[in-house]
Amino acid sequence: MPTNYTISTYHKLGLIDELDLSKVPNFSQKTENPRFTKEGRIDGKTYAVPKNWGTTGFATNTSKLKAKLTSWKDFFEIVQTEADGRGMVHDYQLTTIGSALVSLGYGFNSIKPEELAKAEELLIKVKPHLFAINSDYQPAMRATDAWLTMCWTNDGAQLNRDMPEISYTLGKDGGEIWTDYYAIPKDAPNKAAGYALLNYLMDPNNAVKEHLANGAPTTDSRVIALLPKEITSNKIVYPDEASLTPLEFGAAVTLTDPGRAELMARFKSA
Amino acid sequence: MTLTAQVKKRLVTIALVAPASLWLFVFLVLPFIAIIVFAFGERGPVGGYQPAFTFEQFANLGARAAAFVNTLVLAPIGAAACLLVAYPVAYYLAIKASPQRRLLLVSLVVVPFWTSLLVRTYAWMYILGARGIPHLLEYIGFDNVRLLNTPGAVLLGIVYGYLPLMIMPIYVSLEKLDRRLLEASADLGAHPISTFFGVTLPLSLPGVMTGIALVTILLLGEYLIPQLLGGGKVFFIGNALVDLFLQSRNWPFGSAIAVTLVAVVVVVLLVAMRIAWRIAGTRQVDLV
Repeated sequence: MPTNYTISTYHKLGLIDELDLSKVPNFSQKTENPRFTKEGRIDGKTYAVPKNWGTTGFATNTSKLKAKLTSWKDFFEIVQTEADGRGMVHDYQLTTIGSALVSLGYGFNSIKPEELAKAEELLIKVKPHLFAINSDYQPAMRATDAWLTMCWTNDGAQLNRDMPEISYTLGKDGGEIWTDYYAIPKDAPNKAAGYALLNYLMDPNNAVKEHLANGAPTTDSRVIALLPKEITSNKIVYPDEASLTPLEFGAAVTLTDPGRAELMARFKSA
Repeated sequence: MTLTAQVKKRLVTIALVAPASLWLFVFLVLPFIAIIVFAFGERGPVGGYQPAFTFEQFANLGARAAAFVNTLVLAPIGAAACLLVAYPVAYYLAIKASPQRRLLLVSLVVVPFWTSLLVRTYAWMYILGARGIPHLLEYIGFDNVRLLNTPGAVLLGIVYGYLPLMIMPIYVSLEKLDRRLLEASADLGAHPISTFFGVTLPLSLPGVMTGIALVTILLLGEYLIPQLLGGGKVFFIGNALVDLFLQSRNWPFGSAIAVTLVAVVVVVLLVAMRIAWRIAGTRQVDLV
């Protein structure tokens, strides 16, 4: 299940095969939103088909925190003040460094050393105030150990569904938008079963069940048509187009850049 | 002994040693050789390993100095804390408990091993988390107390997790203690406290050293407890290795750190054995 920014690397390393779409008749290119499918195609060939898309924002327990947060700048400020000891960042360099960069007015995908140095300075200043550096933030948010965390759409939707006091916010200063895909590894031992599963998952009647359980939005308009009104009108799952405008897709180099990996290690060991 | 008897004896020895040797060779020696080879290689352009012969990875060890320092500080502190809790328990089991109850109590010490450390550490996450002890504290007026993801929580998890490994060797060495020495000490007018420090403690030191070596070595590779009870904010070598292999995919650098960690463990073990031998005089010490 590769995310958008890994597909070109997997292709370059020869880890995934071109998909034989004749074996996935339930997949329909026409009803897919091209914004979320283009990174599955390389040189006109389809290597991956989308599972769902989403964003990286933050979840706030509004019964614990009074501050109204609207940006990553707010996030990194409140984490050091009102949410001291109660904030979480991902154990994932792409989103943690990316969001820190955004809060400073830089691009999510920056690999410029001077911008990364500023992000590092911020993260190291914030670290003593954090509750945890962990991408498994749902347990801590549900137990109210943490009051504020970096958060992906699907987790935000699940948390808000069960605890309405937990809100989900997209940074108005930027952040990440992503698509998760399905791909088949080149040396998969049972490709026929892989295609059968893929075709099953691409059937809108099955995809809608996955959507309802997981919470992340779909890329396929056939699935949207099957969704109940309360999901399609849920602003966590389907935010206004305007709030998506400042968001950026992660880039392949952002993930593989050794400078960012070392920055993350220095942050975690500081 | 005739030649055939000698050959037979040798064959029996080989047959007895072969399974363990083969196991260790395939699952310890070969992977370790692979790691040494990796440690002299280079990171590929998108991660992983690329063949080379360079000392670059070892020259770069300073980039994880904080992880080494944290680990080398935590391991002895954790072992010392375990020792402080374990000794009285082992003493009670070996000296004070009646033989009938002793068997039951000793088996209770190892009961936690029936469940995985991961599951038990998760249980601590809930006990220390906001719905656990802090929730009870709210009833007596202490709001928003935070216990989870603190250094104290990590230390608690370590003592809890490794206590049986400290109790058992101390218990064994105290159990072997000749009670007549304690009686002789008392007959000669020694206060129980001076008997303890003059007789009991020195004679149990081999067990103490075994326990310390065992717990320290395991703590040097610890990953789980700081991750789950420390919130991933305290960075040990174990955590550095996980990140290097799984996140940044810098296998050669991770291998160099792993090789260095093994070297540190060997040094710690040698020092511990040397101290134990010196304390125990000429007696054979049953170290790990």
